[in-house]
Amino acid sequence: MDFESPDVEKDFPGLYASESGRKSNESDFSDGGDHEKPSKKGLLGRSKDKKEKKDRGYAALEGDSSPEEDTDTKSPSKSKKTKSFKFPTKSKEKREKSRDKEKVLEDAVKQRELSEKEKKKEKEREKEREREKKEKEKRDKLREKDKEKEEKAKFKLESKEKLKDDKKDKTKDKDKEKVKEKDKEKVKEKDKEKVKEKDKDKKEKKLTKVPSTVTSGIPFEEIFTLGVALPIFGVPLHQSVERSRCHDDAALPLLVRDSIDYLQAYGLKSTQIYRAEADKVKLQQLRKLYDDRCAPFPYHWDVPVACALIKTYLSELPESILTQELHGQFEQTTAIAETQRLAAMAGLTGKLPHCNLALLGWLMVHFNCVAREHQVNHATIAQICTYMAPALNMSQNLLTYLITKADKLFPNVELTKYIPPLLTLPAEFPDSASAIALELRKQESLLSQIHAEMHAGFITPARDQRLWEAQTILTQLKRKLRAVQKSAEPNALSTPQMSIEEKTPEAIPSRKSSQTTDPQISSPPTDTTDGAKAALPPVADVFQPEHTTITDSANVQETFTAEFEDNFDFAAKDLTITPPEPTVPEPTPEPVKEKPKLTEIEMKKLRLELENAEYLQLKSLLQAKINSEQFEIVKLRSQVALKNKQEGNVPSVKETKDHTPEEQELRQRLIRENAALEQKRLSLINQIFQERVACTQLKIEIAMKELL
Amino acid sequence: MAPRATAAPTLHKVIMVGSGGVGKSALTLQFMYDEFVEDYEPTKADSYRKKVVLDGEEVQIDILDTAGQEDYAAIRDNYFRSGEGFLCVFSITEPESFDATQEFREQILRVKNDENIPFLLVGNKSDLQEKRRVPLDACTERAAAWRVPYVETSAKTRDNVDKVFFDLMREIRSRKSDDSRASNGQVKKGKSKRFKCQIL
Repeated sequence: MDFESPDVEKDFPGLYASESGRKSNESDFSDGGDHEKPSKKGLLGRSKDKKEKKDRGYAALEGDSSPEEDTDTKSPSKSKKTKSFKFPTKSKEKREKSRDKEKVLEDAVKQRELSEKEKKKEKEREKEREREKKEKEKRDKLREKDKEKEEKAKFKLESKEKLKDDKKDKTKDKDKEKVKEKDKEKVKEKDKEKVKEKDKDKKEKKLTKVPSTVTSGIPFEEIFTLGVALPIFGVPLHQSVERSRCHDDAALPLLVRDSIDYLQAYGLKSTQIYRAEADKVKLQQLRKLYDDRCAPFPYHWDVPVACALIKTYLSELPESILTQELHGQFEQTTAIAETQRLAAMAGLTGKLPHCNLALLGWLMVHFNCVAREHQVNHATIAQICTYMAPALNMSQNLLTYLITKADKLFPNVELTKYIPPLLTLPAEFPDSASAIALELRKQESLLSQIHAEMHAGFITPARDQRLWEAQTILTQLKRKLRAVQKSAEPNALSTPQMSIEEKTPEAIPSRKSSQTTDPQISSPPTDTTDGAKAALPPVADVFQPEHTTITDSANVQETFTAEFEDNFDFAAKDLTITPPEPTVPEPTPEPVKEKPKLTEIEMKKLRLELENAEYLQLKSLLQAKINSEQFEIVKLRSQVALKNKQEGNVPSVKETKDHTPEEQELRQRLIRENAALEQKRLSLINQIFQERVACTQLKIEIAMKELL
Repeated sequence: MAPRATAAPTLHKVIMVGSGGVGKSALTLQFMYDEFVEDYEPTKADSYRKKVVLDGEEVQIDILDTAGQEDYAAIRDNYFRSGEGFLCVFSITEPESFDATQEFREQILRVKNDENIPFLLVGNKSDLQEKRRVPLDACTERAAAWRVPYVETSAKTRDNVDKVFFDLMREIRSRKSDDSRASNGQVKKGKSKRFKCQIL
């Protein structure tokens, strides 16, 4: 199915029903965990539910499997059918639930069974041939796309296998699970054959046109690959924050935010909080939805599941939330005398990377809230520690301390409910400038995320549509904001300012891509700078020295780190990855400088927000590039691996032979040259960095001048 | 998207391309809001939506106004893929921008992989005849070579502004119906399907 355009399915709505069934073959690994531990405290009702589901599953699966068996002449795994088909139906169930349309789909499945049995044998072969012709035509056009997808598929298989292995490690074998385990392996074996079969399957399913129960129009396999290629769970924290961000600047993964939001709203008074066993099925579904960047449904949320989701996420983080370097120090600090402990702890948290700090802060403040209600919900700090300490990999002492002192250690954390960006063009935009600016920022963040996903190769019509939608909203917001500003400032002071600010981020990327354009861009600002300085003696006084040297601006930075940590962290992290990054945060201090000079608080705030939005946008733009680079790396690696496999170790043999003195000399020279080039590269990076700092500062001066 | 097409009016996605400062945004804003903005302000990407009546049929047009600057090429590509028709704009006062159309054309053909993609060559700033530096012959010649229509516009005077958008929409529409006929599929679903396949 990976070789087909998603559109094909769209036009054959019946596919969706079948899609989910087939998909489950791939996603079975995630199902494996569902029933690993029969929920001990599982409420009776729930377990009954499960049984029902299973029964239904069996009923449906027979129908589902029979056509496959018939057409599948090559499959050696035929004999294993009853076992291996448990999975498809089970996760088909999941899909149904997730779409909140269980019954419709089930009926549909039954209908399909019936009609398939009737029609299949007579019509199959004829229609298959027809389809094949059509599909060949399409494929010609899709050839390029297919290549991409093949690669993705390869990658998918790899990571799937990895995940499976992880799962296996965790499984505590019980009889039933063993059976499932076997099934998994069988399915795994089958996977490759399935790829071949898939085409056939698809055709079969097209024969019977079942009304689509899936309205989202998002082809599953596309999303699936996104979830597998760039997962949210089990990757370093900063990566999952990038991939699944809250578009309002809180640097924690969306799933944690949602969970905390839910618990803050509905869990504080619940006695189940950080105590009760979660429904494993729901948990798995939620997890998968987040990995796939799909929005969960209210159905999925309950208190134990939200708790367990946080816990699962934390326990799968590859590195301690306190970072490898600082974890030990944190633990040691618990032994310090109480009088100095808080200061030491605060010092350590200050050293944490931004996203680690944000996540830790949110969690601790949230736990603190929970514990404060312990008389109602019986979740004392000790209780929470017991539940969470293993996942966080912290000692009880440390965790207890962090929770108790959450208010003091994380004074900036405020558990605000997340309001996602608008998804469609609303009839009425907010009226206040700050509300618009806020939404604008969210949309920009969303847009850059969509771009990043597309750059990573995940292109679907649905994502295309979202891209246009977000862009339209963004444009409307910009216009509205401008209009609001105009009416608010009749003297038109803010309008020129706006336009300058919009230019700022555009000029900056130009520096990194083409240095040739630099003079053009930077020259107009230089002209005006002098004027700006003259016009604003008091202000110019403050930042005049900065605009040529970085060292000075670095000093200024320090004073503002607290406010712009976000950007700073990105710089620190990205420095090693791509050269253009360091300059992003650099300009941030300047705007802040100017603020105090302005008269109206409203204006100040607005400007800050705008600037923040622009920098954020720039940041995400660069982030998008990093993401695509990362994906490129993965792709190239898999190519290399493939090549190595194909060629065996022929090259290495060659290498050992070639050891003539000339060769060695050449090698030496190349090494030297490379070193020199590397030096050059570094100095260039440095230069870009410096120039951009200067450039941004000049621009801000212009903005200042226009303002006054 | 298929169900959407039946419920909402047909959607045509138009993309403005061309070098910086040729007046893509000016054309777009003139078409959208009947306004002409004097001061130049580079675009990164903007998208507009409007309902118009095209030959008696209500349709929706999505206009994506792209950046002329090369820096945003990466972002642009994401949009090119989903665009259904292109207005390739240059300024008749600026030969460089006319030269650049060649590159934009190639880029579009590369992304869309389709010689017959709805496409109009647009010479903007026709109100500045006295500053004209791209001869009309060269323009029509290039358009003929590409087998696309050539239209001269003025975003300032609104000359031919509606024309270029409506002409392009007509091309897109006829292209879509051709496609659906070619695929002999079902009337409405076939339309969107056939077209999208070529995008991908």
